[in-house]
Amino acid sequence: MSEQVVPKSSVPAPTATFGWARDGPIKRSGGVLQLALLDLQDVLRRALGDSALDLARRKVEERNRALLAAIPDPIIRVRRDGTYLDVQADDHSLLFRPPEELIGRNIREFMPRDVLDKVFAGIEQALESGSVVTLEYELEIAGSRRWKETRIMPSGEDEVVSIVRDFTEQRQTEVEQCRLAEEQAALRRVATLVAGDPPPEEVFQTVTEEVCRLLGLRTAVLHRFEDERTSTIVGKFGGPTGKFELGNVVELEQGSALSVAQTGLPARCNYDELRGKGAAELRALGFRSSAGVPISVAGATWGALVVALREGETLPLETEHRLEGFAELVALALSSAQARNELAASRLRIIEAGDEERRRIERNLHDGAQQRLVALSVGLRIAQTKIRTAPDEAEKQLAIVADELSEALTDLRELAQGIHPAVLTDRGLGAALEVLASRAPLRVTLDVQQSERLPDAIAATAYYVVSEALANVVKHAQAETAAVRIAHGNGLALVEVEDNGEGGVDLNSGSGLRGLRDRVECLDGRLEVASIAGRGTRVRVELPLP
Amino acid sequence: MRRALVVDDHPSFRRSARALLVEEGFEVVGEAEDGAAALALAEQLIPDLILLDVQLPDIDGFEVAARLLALEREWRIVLVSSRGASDYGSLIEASGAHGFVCKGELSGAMLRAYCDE
Repeated sequence: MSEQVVPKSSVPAPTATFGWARDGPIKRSGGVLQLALLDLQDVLRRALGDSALDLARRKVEERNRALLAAIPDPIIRVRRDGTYLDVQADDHSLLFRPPEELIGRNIREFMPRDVLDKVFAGIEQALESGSVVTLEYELEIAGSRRWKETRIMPSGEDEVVSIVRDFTEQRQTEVEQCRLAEEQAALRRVATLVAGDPPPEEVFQTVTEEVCRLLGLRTAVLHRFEDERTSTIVGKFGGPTGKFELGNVVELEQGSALSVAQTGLPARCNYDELRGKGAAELRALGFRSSAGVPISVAGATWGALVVALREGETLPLETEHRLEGFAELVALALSSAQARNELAASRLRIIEAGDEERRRIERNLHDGAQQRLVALSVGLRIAQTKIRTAPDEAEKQLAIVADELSEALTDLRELAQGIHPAVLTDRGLGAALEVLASRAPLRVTLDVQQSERLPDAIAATAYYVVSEALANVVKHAQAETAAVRIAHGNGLALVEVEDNGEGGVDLNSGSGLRGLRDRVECLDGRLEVASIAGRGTRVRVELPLP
Repeated sequence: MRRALVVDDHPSFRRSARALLVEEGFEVVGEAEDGAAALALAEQLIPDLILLDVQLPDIDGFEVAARLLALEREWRIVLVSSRGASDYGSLIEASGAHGFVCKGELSGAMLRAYCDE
């Protein structure tokens, strides 16, 4: 048995051991170092004789064995025709069979055609060139997909040694990183869109499209739930979906969307396992299964993002988790649109309230003071015509005019007070509230803790909150007393009006409280009404101080 | 004696106008507080002068004036308002009424003058 290191052209093939060929540097530089070692052996033989050469060779062998043992990858010696000559592997799970079952058999028995073509070409190239050939290929071993890198180097005239490295995990990490990068890019695209405050419909459409692209599926649908069994299709991507077409209101008979609507949790369903018309329709359209996740807005399940799978399509890993990322962006877009709509509605209400207030003032002026002044004017003209001919009647007429004038003045004063209370401007919130309390036809206690004068806008809002709340108490609450409290601290002004009346007030029931809430929200404040039937009402307003 | 109809939804103005007209020698034959009542009373009473407020709760005074004129009676129609003529612009002329008086400037002599035209 020869273990000499010689070029393939002049040395018979080594047999049982890899010793001579398993040097690290050989692995890396191939035939060049083999030649270098040959030269070294010749030099040694000439200089030292055979016995000294044996000694040197044993040392080299020892070192090579150590190096080989240090290589964790399977090392396989194969004949040119593909017959396994020797197999060494610490981890047998990386092999088609245990080493003893492989030796003597042929790689053709285990490898698929496309890989075999590659491997035989590599063996031929290594044998022809005398250098290392590196190949990459995929194999299925024991049911799992493995990625391999093989380095083939000639180990004799008709055989090669290959070191097979399994880089499946690395490959999977790369694939996962790539998937994550794609997912992040898709989420970023949608997030950028959402940030531009587009109409929600545009977001719905983009999300269904991006989800399909990312998951490698053909159909996605976005439901907005009307109730637990009805939804409106607000977004759709992909081919015909039967009744689940954009804009349709559909009854949810069975499937993922129904489960999401009823549970608020992600769901999957297999149409083959479902009996019913709905599932049959979807099966007829080629769908086999679906998966959906909820879209939650302000703690409630608003809708569902559902992907539907056709024959041959499979759900990628962590589908629901990945869908949830998109569902969150849809929810964000909805919340943003809702906030925008609320803001627009609030602005409109403020404008309308202003217009209504102007109309009220005009009406009051027209019906009140103006009519009295007209009567005054006419009365004075009548008195004028009578003053010479019938002075007694003229005097009576002037007395009527004087009464009319003082009533006109009262009307004007009350109207001016309604437009803006002068005492608030002149003497501040505390004094204005005292006037309000003194005029109220029920007992009002005041607790005004105010160390410094509040900014005008805050004071005016606090005044109108108390004024409106007390007016409501008088009109609706049947209360005996009301308590008004003004305090400030921690950057907030607090206004509270509490009564011991009937309660049961709904914030949305009248325009007065809604108008107040709009006014409060304009100042970034908050208005709350706590009103339980039979237990009175408390209106509480917090206004941030500048 | 000339006969007058006063149309206004404010009782205080009807009272003042009545006093002024009586002082000027008119007989106030009726008072109406909206447009529909004005049309009915006018047809029934056939007054010489109709003092007609513009802002009525049902039909406005311009429309009432147009309908009264369409009846082709001899009556004179004088629109009155607590607003000025400039607030209504061409609406006054378009109504066909014989005159427009701001309530604050109303006088007996002025009303008589409209009847004498």
